[in-house]
Amino acid sequence: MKQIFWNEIEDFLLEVEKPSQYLNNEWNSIHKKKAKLRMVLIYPDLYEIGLPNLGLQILYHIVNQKKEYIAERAFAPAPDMAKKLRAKKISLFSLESKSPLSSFDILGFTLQSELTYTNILDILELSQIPLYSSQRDKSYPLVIGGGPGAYNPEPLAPFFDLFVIGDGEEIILEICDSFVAWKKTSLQKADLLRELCQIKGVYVPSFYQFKYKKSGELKEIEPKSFAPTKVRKRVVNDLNQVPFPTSQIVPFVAVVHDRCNLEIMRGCGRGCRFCQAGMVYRPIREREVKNLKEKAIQMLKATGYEEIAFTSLSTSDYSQIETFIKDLTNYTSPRGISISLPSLRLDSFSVELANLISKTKRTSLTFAPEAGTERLRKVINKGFLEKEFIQTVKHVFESGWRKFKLYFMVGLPSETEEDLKGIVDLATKIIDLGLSVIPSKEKGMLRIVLNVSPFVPKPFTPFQWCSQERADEVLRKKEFLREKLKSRFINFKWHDPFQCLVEGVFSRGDRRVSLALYKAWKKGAILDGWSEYFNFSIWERALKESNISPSFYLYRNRLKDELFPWDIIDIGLKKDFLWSEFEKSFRGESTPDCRDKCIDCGICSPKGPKNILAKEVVRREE
Amino acid sequence: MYRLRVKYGKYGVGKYLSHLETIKAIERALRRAEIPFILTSGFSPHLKISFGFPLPVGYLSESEFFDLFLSSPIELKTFLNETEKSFPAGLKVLQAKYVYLKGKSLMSIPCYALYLVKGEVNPPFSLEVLEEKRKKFLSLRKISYFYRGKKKEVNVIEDILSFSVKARGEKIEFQLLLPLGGKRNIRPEILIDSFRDLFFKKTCFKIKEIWRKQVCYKSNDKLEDLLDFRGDERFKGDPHLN
Repeated sequence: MKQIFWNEIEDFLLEVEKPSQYLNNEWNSIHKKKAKLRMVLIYPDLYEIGLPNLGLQILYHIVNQKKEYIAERAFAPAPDMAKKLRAKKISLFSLESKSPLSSFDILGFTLQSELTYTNILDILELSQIPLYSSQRDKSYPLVIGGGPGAYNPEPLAPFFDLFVIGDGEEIILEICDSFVAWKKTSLQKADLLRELCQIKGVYVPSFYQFKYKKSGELKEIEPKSFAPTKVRKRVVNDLNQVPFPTSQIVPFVAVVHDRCNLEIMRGCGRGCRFCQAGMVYRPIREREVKNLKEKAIQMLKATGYEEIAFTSLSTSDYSQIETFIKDLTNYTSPRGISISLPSLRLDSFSVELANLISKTKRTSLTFAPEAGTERLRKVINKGFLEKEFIQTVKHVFESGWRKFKLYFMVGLPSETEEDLKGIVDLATKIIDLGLSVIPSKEKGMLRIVLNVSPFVPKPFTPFQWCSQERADEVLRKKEFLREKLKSRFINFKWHDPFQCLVEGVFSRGDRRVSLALYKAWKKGAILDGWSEYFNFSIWERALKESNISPSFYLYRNRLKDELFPWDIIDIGLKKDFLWSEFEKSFRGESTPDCRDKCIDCGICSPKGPKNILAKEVVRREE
Repeated sequence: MYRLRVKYGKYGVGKYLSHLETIKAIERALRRAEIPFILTSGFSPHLKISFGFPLPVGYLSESEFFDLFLSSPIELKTFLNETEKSFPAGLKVLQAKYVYLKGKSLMSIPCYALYLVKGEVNPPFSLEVLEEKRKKFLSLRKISYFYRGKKKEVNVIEDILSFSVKARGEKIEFQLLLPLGGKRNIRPEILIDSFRDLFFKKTCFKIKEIWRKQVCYKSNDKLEDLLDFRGDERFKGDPHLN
C-alpha cells in the first residue's frame, strides 16, 4: 500500500463538507513516530458520532501510555469523502499519521450498534483489506472487535479475527504484548490466534464450528480442542485501579456530547428486563469521590471544555452523587462550567440534583418512563408509581424547568392498547400539570420532547427469548400515538421501525446472517443508523438473496433450553437467572435493586468482581 | 473590567476551520490558559469575547482579531506565553494590546483588508502582458459577479484600493486591498476570477493560497493597523492602557 501524502488529501479537502473532521491536530491527540506495534482504533461511523466515545478514548490513552506502542484513530468517512477516496484511489487513512489502515498491525473496531456493521465492511474495502478473516494472511492487520456489539459477535464472525468481550482496560495490553512477541517469530497468523484465544475475554470465531438443526435453530457449538468451551467476559474489579484519560481529545468540528465525559460508575443494579447494558456491565463499580474530583478538575484544565457530564447507566444511583456535585460546583460555578447528568432516575431526589447543577446553566432534563402503565412497567421491572412520577414532574416545573425529554418504548412484551393509551394519558397529564403550575407568562415555553423507540430484544437480557414486534404493527402504533399526541407542547420523535427490524436481525443473529450483511453492503447499504442514508429495500433484497428469513430471528418466541449463538460467551450471569426474570415478567413481579438485596444473578464472587460503592465522604460545611 | 484586543493568525490546518469552529477552539484555549476572563451573566454564562469579521474557510491569515474582556489586567507577555502553550495547531496569538473599555465593537469598525493570493500559472505570462491587463481591469467601472445565485457588483474605483500582480515562472501573486466589514465586503478571489475570465483562459491559472495579511482602519485618510484602534477617545483615562 502506498504511503499517503497529506498534500494529496489537501488537494480536495476544501471540496468536502466539514473538512476539519479529517485533520490530525485536535488538541490532546497523540503523535508518535516509532513503535514496536501500531494499532488503529476505529469507530465505524462518522467522526461527529464516534469521537466522543469514551471507550475509544480510554483505550487510546492506555495504549499510547506505553512508550513502545502507538494507537491512532480512524472513523467512517462521510459519503462525499468516501467517493473522493475511491475516485482518486487513496486508501482510508488514520487521522494522526495519515497512514493507510492496511499499514497497521492491528485494527480495533468498536461495535456500538448493529446499524454500523455495513460501515465496517466499507472501511475495510476502502483500505483495500480483504473483508473475510480467512482471506487475510499475516501480511494484513489483525482485525479485532470489542464493545457492546461483541456480546453477540456471531453476525460479524467471518469478518473478524477475534473479539474482545468485556472491559478493555487490561486486556488490550495483554493482546499487544502477545502480538509483539509473535511478530518477532516466523509463526503464522493461526499460531497467533491460538495463543491469543488463551487470554480470558478473547473469542476467536474461526476456532468454533456452529451446527444447526433442520428447524434452523442452533444445535451445538463445537470448539477446536485447544479453544476454551466458553469465553468469559473480562471485568475490571476496581475502576479506581485502572487509568482514566483526563487529556481527552478536543475536536474542532462540532460532535455529539461535545464536553468532558467522566465515567463515575460502571454497571447498574436496577435490572430493567429490556436493558442489555444493565445486565452485561454488572457488577456495579463506583469510583471514589476523591479520585473523581481530581480527574474532573484535571480534565477541565486539560481540555478547556465548558461542560462536564457524569456518565453512567443511572447517574442518580451513584451513592455519593450529591456530595460529589456539591464539591465540584465549587470549582465549576465561578468558571461558568456546566455539569450535565445524562441519565437520571425518575424521582424527586433527581430533581434536587438537577437543581444543584442548574445554578450555572439550565439544560434540559431527561426521564425514561419507558412504558405507559404501571402494569407494563412491572413487566419490564421499571417499577415506579404514577403518583410519584407526577409529583416529580410537578417538582420539575416548580423548580423552573419548562422543557424536558421523555423516553418510551413500544412493542414491549405483553403490550396492549391500554399501555399505548397510558403513554397518551401520561403525556396529557404532564401537559395539564405544566399549564396549571407554570406562571401564565411562561406557559408558551412548555415543551415535552417525546421520544418513542420500538423495542428490540437483546441478547443476555430476560427478554432474549421474546418475539420482536412486527414492523407494520409498530407503524400502526406510531400512527395511533401521533394522532393522539397532537399538541403544540409536544415534540414527537420516532425511530424508524424498519431500521429496528434490521437491528433486530443482527442483534440476535447467528453466523449465517453475515451473508446478508455482505450482500446489503455490496448493494450499497451504508450508514444505516442515519435515516437519510438507510434504505430498507436494499436490506429486503439482501436478506432474500441470502435465504435469511427475518421472522426466524425476530418473530419467534424461543424455548427455555434453546441454544443461542451468543451462548458461546459467558457474561457471568446465570442463564437460569435470566429465565427466572423472564418468568417473573409474566407475573408482573418486580425484582429489587441488587444493592438493596442480592438477587443471585451470579456475577459476584468472593475473589472476583463484586459491587463496589464509593466511600462516604464527610463534607465540611461552608 | 479590561478590554484586550488580540491579533491572531490562522496557519496550516487552521484554514479548514469554519468561523464557529475557530471561536470554539479559541474559547477553549483561553480556558486552558486560565486567563482571567469575564463571564456574561444570564442563564448560560459564557466568555465575554467578541470576534472580528469572519475569515472564509480555506483562507490563511496573519491578521484576525478578537476583543476579550478581563476581570484583572494581565501582563501582555504573560498572555502571549500562556496562549502560545494553549492554542491548538493552526491558530496562534500574534499580538495583544489593551484598548479603551467602551467604543465600537470589532465588527462595526469599517475596515480594509490586505490580501495576498498565491497561484500557479500554466503557461507562464510575460510581466508586460500582465501589467497591461491589470491596467485595463482597473479602468473598468463595474465588475459584476454571481454570489450564491445573486448578481452582485464591484465598483472598481471605490472598492478596489489597490490591485497589483507579479509573476515569476509558474508562480503568480496578487496583492489586493479591499473593504472588509458589514457594510461593504469584497472577497479577493471574486476579483481574481473576473480578472482571469476577462483576459485569459479559465484554466491558465489556479489559486493555491489566500492570505489575509493585514486589517486596517482609516484614520485621517491614513490606513492604520486595526490593533492600534483604541476606541472612542471620550472613554480614555483607563489606567491600564499602555
